[in-house]
Amino acid sequence: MTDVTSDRRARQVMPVLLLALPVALLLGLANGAAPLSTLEALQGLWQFVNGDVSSQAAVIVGQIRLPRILLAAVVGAILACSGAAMQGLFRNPLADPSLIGVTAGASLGASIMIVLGGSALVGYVGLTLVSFGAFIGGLLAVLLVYRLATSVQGTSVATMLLAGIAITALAGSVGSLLEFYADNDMLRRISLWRMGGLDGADYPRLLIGSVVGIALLLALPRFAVALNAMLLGESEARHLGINVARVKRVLIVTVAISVGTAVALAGTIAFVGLIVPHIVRMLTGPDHRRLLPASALAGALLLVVADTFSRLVLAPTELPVGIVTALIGVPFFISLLRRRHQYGML
Amino acid sequence: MTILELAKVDANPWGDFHLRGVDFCLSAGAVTGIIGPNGAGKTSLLQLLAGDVEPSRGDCRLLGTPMSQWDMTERARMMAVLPQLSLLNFPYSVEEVILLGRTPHGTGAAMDRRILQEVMQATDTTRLRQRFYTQLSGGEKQRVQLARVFAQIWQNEGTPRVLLLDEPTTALDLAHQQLIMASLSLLAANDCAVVMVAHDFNLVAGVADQVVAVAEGQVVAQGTPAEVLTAQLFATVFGAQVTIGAHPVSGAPLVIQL
Repeated sequence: MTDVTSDRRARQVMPVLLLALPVALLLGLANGAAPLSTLEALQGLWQFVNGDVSSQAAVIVGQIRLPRILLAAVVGAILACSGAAMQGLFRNPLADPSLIGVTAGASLGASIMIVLGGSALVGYVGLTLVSFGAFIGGLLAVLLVYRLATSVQGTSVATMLLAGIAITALAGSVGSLLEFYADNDMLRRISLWRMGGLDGADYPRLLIGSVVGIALLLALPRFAVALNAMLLGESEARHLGINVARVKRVLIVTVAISVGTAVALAGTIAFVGLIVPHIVRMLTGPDHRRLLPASALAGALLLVVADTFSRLVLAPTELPVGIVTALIGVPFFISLLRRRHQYGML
Repeated sequence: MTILELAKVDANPWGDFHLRGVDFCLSAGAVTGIIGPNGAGKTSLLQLLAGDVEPSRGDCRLLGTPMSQWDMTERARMMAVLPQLSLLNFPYSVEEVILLGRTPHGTGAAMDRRILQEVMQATDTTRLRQRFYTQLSGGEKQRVQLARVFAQIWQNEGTPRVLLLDEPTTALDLAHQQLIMASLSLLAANDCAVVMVAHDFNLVAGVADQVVAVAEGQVVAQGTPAEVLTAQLFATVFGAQVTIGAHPVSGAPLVIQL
């Protein structure tokens, strides 16, 4: 028998995250292949913001690191916040955005672009086309999953989970087929893309990510009360006055677009969308009015820290960030799982 | 005053006919018991009343307006539904679950707190309020869910309200059954229409003003407990042999198994 208040740290979570994120961003600016002191990083940032790119620090901080860590923050926030919403919608703490097929579809879209484009797909245009392919692939997959799960009686979330697994498997096997015909260079690019990375970050990509991310962060909290009621069950939520069909439709489309964008910009970064909301829920409880914003902050924090690590560990070589998110997050998650009874989980 | 009215309703939620020619109404201040064998259509009938199932023929009207034309929030402010099974597996605190019942209202935190206190007393859940819902026993969970639906329609005395309960006492011990029955009577006394699907005939006989017996998707008997709960009904509808006695104190019919 456990009391809720003694174990939830709901009140501390938001302030701690709000403090930690700027610190992590600053560390991300200062650290990398060319180490700068915190002061140098701040000076460089100041010079860059004022349009002065004469010093090396200003160039490194302003043109390379700033768009990258901000993109990391935006992508992390999108993935974690979407994951929290999906777990609420599916009433399943194991759900994550990839369950509705968006990640697999995006992977396939990117692979198709890489294989069809071949060696013509180089540099900035190539990267953009691959991202575009990923975005379209992700959206098409979700659309298909959604159609499969929708009948005259409405959309069944249980069927959506199964359809998502089916479409993921299908996209995976078509992807493998493509790899079978791909040459070595394409294979390497496909596999690097899958591991996820933020090395393509620049201001145009940051702009796209930010617009989508901010729209998502403004939209999702409007569904917090509905998601709270939907944890009871769909008919229970209807009896509480929630228009369940509309909430489902809007949430799925919103999440598909946002996660599709995140995957297109940064590749598949596993784990953030599944485990960040899970960790945050253990600390704040399942109330989405706290869970959604706290997940967004925690996802941003995790991805910024992971990206900084990925640039430091083997500098000047970079590790794909997807590897690092799991290496950092999993031990923390497992330590929480071992104390799960304290957090009211069975 | 008639709150909810079913007029010659057919419903076939899964293709074949499930309910046929259902015809009855709920009045403010009355407790209605729905009885019938397994699979007779009791839950479907409750879903029809709750607006979950659309009638394929006939009319289901809440305060004279067809169910489907109601604004969902407006309807939720006056009608609460307790389902038979609840599968909540997220670690809400008991208090958070009960407060979900206030979702459609938006009457402010102070009012919500006051209602929370009252419904926790009415369901004996006050000392559970800080516990995790996921770690409660079956009977405790049922009381918390009851508190949640009570909270949804607790206030607004004078405005018409409907409380639909699907087997609300299956997991409750005797003392808590009595507590809940007292709360239901209190709600009815405050003009709420209460509908209860139950298998405990003596519980129904003790509290209900009207009993509706359902078999194979049709209403086979309706009236006061004394009119409906007869040995003949049990023989034809349930295929069970019983003797009907009289409650030594209240005089209500008492169903005794042979």
